Amino acid sequence: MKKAQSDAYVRKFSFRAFEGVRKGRVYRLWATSWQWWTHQWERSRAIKVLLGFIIFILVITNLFLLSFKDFMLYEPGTRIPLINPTTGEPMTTNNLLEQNLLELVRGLVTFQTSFSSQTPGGGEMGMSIGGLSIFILILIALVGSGLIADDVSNLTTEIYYSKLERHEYILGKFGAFFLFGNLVIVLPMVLEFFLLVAGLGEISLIQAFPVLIQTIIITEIIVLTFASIVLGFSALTSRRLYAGLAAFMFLFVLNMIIPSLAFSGQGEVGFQILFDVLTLLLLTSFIITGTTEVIYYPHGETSEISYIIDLANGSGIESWMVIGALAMYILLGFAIVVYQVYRRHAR
Amino acid sequence: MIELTEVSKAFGDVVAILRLSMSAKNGVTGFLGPNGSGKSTTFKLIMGELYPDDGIVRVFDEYPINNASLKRRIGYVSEHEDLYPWMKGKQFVTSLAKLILPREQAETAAKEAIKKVGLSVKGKRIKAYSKGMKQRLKIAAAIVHHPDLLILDEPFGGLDPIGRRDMKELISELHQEGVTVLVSSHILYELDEMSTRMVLIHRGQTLAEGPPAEILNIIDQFPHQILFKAPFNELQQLSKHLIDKDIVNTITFKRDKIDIDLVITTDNPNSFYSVATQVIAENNLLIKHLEVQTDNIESIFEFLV
Repeated sequence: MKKAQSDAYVRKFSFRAFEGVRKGRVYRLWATSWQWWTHQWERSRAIKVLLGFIIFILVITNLFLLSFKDFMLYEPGTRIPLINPTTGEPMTTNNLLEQNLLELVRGLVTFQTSFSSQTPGGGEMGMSIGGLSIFILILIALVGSGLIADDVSNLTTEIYYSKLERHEYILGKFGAFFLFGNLVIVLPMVLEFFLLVAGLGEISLIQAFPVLIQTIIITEIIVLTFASIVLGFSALTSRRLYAGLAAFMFLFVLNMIIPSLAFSGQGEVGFQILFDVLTLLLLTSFIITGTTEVIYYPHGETSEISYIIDLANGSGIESWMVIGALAMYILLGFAIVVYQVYRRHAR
Repeated sequence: MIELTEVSKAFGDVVAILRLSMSAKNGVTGFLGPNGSGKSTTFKLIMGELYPDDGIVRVFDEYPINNASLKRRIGYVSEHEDLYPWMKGKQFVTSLAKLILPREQAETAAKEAIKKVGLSVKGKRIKAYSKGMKQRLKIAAAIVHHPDLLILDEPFGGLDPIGRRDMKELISELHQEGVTVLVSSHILYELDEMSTRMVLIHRGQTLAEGPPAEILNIIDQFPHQILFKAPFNELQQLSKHLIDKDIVNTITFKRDKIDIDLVITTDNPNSFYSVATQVIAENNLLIKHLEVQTDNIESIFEFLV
């Protein structure tokens, strides 16, 4: 605490001159995000357990892939390359990396493991870890639900608003979720890329680089979408339990119900699919990898029944609709947070 | 330093502040007003948390709205128990310090602030703190970044007499160190001793502002009610000796369950206390309890309006 006042300054202006350290806005945002994310991390043991479990699944998946690499590249018992059904070319290690990494990424956001594609960037799926998404959803609901709701229930918003501007508060909350999202979604996939590159061998890093970029873009979009939705629910209530449950149910239940409605017609894909956030994320991932034709097997890939979603044929579901619908969800969540912080929490 | 000129603020149909004007300079400015009079709204306007619907708010010669650098100079203690119960005290103060101060300074600043408010935390979680400890912790969080202006909204709420005394001492100490303090209360005696200036607020408007002595003079115009509890014959004796005094307005006997109390109203409390003390001493009366009922600020304000 400063002991002495500057008398001359006080006499002239009736208050003393500011003498303290003033950090910039970027620092404050970073400090705010970091602090809130560490609060959530420190509070919940379940978060650490779930994160450990996700890492365990990824390690197992890696071991599986590396152990059975030859079975995916060559005819059994020979060195004759398998033919890539999507390109008609012999399978390469790069193909293997691309297919498996992108499937891992898609497995983060879907319970439907029977989406496939016939164009480069998709290919036949070599493996599936769609079950990982349930843990990701639980994790993001656990972490994100309390970010705003806890402040409302503990009335700490008043303290924060006395130190931060409202937009700094909002950006700080999104930043906190982003830090977490990058840790559990983006970083594991980036590490996975390098592990696969190192483990599979015979891979040109330059050739594989676009896959890394695609992986980062897709996972960042996933994080942004989850951040917007979970924080939107968190801003709507003062109970983190309700916010977490609502966010989880919103993502999970819609993904359980809507695809079955959308794929019930005779070969036609219903527009209801645009209401399912997880399917939108999945389709967006195909769009980012340059895939415009996605095949869905409602009863598994061995079944004869399949639906084709052509995202660029000018009829039915189109790429712009998918991206537009996803953007609407992101904006809606963000708008709820802004409205609540500026209006509801202003008293 | 802090100037509000003709400021109005409404929440929907409810007008919280109506053409309120006031100013505060260095020192401790006490905001006195009943609940719902607009004290907290005034503070939020000063901090730039709320936009005024009309009028001008200036703090340190700056407009507070969207002024992040100004927030750096303000510390705020709200009337609510706005703490994370699962956190430890030091962790809470440090985390708030990190929002403003460089990381390397935050830890030290938090330690200093906790020491300054006289809080012994010893690793306990906030949920285990007493009310007084929580109030101290809130002040530590508010002063951790060395603000020039400290705003305390009802800091005495829920504190016991010792806690109130300690809080007053702490506020006076901060004032001595050059921090300008705005403190609100709806109880007169919490503010009159430590304030260098007082502002009376009622129904969103400033009724009066100035040095405490002036404000107390205004308030003293209100007839004070003093309640005496004693055996009935003692109360009779007391009333008999006081009834012919000029300073006494009314004398009333009031039944309180099985007891009968004596209530006296006076326009001149200071003279009354010396006369009453003299009468009680000379007649050797046994008075069990004496209570000033006009501490209810609501009734004073109704009178002043």
